[in-house]
Amino acid sequence: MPEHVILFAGPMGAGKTTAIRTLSEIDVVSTEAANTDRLQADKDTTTVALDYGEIAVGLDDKIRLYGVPGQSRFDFMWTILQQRAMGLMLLIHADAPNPVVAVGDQLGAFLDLANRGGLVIGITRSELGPRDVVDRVRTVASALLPERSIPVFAVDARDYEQMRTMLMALISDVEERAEMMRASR
Amino acid sequence: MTGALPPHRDPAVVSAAVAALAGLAAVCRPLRAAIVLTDDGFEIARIPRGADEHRRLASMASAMQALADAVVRELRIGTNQHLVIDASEGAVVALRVGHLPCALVAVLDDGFVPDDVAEIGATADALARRLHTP
Repeated sequence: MPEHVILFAGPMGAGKTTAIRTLSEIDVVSTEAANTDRLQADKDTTTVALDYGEIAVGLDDKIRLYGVPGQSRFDFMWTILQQRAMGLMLLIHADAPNPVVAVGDQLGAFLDLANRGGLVIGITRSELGPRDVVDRVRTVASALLPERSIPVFAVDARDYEQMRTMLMALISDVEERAEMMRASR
Repeated sequence: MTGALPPHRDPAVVSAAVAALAGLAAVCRPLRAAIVLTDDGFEIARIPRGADEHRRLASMASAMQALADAVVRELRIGTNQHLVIDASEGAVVALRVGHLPCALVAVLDDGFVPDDVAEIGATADALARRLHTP
């Protein structure tokens, strides 16, 4: 299996840093700063550049996990980190002000990667959001990328097994997309 | 800093930062632009105002500073004192404002000297003292 670069994206508070810490087999490289605007999000810290973790696959191969900052003022990091990525794990917290709109916004921001690479969507804190949030997110994602079958999971970013299942679904999608690209050439 | 308002919306903090940058501009001739920002990338004050090429300097400086901190942590070489990007036609100097969750970043024309970096450090120290004083 070739080396995979996976990008974790989503709004502030979606659980990107937590998910990478849950999955990574190395100490995660974090760039967290004190969150000085608690009116925007009630959390102590926020990622301002990237998170980085790794999972070894076999003896030589790795899955590299990169997390981007959630706030759009750091969108230059979205552009930089999107370039090498092969798959997008989009996380949205169900108790966000409007999680369905957030999915549309995030898919728009990462459309280049979503079109050429693998894609899965994870809904975190799903017990705190609207009951039908997973179905509504699935509908929005299908409308934006009608040719794709996009897996949507309700996940707890702290749960290794759930995150691992989601990651493996993404890797499978990455490989499928790569195979389709090769076949179309 | 009172903590009641985010620093970038606190008039007292903004006013102190504006004054600090004006003072720096008066003594640092190669200064092209400067900004005081929160660690999480909000602009508190900036000179010159309205220059479009410096619009994203606060968020970029925040990311840059955090990456430098990560490198220092990884290598276990103490704490990040300041960060310098020495480019072919200028330089960027970034340093923390005391122990506050803020930083001062200066963009300098080519030909800056160590005294200019010292002036930037002195400005950051003075601003830290001012913001610590009620």
